[in-house]
Amino acid sequence: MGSEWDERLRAALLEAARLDGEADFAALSGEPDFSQDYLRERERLLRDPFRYARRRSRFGYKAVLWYAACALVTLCLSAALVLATNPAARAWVVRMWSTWRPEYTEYQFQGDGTEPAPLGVWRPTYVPEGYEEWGKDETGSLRSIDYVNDKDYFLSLTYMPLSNEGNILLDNEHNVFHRVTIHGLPADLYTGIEEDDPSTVIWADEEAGMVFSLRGVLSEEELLYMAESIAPTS
Amino acid sequence: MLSLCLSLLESDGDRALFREFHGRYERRLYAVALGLLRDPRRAEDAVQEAMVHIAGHFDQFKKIFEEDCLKIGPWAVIIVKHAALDLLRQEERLAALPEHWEAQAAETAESEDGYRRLVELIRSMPDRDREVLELRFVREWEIRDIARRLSISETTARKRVDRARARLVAVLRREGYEHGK
Repeated sequence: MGSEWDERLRAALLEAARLDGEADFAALSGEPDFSQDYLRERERLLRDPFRYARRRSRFGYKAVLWYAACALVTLCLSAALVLATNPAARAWVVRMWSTWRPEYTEYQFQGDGTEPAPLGVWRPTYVPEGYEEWGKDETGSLRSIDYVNDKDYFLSLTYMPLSNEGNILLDNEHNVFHRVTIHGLPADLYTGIEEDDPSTVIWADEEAGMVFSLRGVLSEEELLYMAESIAPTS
Repeated sequence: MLSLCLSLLESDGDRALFREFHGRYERRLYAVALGLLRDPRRAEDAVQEAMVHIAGHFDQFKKIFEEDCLKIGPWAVIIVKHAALDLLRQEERLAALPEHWEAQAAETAESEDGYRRLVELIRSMPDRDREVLELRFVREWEIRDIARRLSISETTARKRVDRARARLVAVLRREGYEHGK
């Protein structure tokens, strides 16, 4: 990429960005009123920027999950899943399906648009030894809680209402796929291939009206044990 | 701007350099994100994503810093803008941005300078065209990475880069410039 034109184009792109940045900054009225969430994350970042960035990069999918709550998606659960998890008559049917792509699997779902039950706060009652709580978001429609150990390995529980429209992308390139169950509910498990590759288990609990995803560098047994310990705190 | 470079040069160590940079540019990057997203909370997310990206790719930061300290700011503007476009893309709001581009005629005498005219044209380009050029020529991404980001094939990504580039060249030639000279 080193032609004279390419170099000139690069310089012009940077100059254009500089001018746009100055224009935007000039248009900014007063000091930004940053939220408490932002200030908290900023403090964490500045405390040790490179460690923070390394941790976030291990869980890059989390950004996708965060945005996914707003994404429009339609999806169908198999009739077998519906009957297996909730044979009682319900007013709505949640649809969720997965699409296998070369490097990731996309889970898509859409509720029926009715008002979801209160989300509540869900936590695992079992947390592996050595892990301590690192951060949480238990106020929005996409909730999460993170744990970390002294090796900078993360455990991350994320959950959202099934009545949302959304999608979730899970890496399937560095994992082996299995079908498992969580409390008898069908679940998809992606176990990491290398020693420090994280594993992820994802499942839908129609009775609770939730989709859960638990990810961490754990053995399959411990990950599933932790998944089955997840319960509402309120 | 020179004082900014001096203050960055005086930073002791990478961590201090990043913190100095963060303190100096946070508001500026927030302003850029807010201009695109029109939502303070989303703008915060974009700024945080950009800063995390910069911290995670600090070798790139230092490379540009050593090349020309004054390019750090524009480079960071591009990073945060792409973070904002990611948000829009995820929320499927990218379609709300203008796609059609009709290059405006040169307005000022300064535009007689081909380089200035090139900058002017870039500023008037649709964000999606500009984004692929920035990814390829500023952030030096491979075509396959651009394709993955945009969820398109590599062939399509290459075509988008070539087309955006070709449109700039076509306008400049039509106006009597040769490749922005």
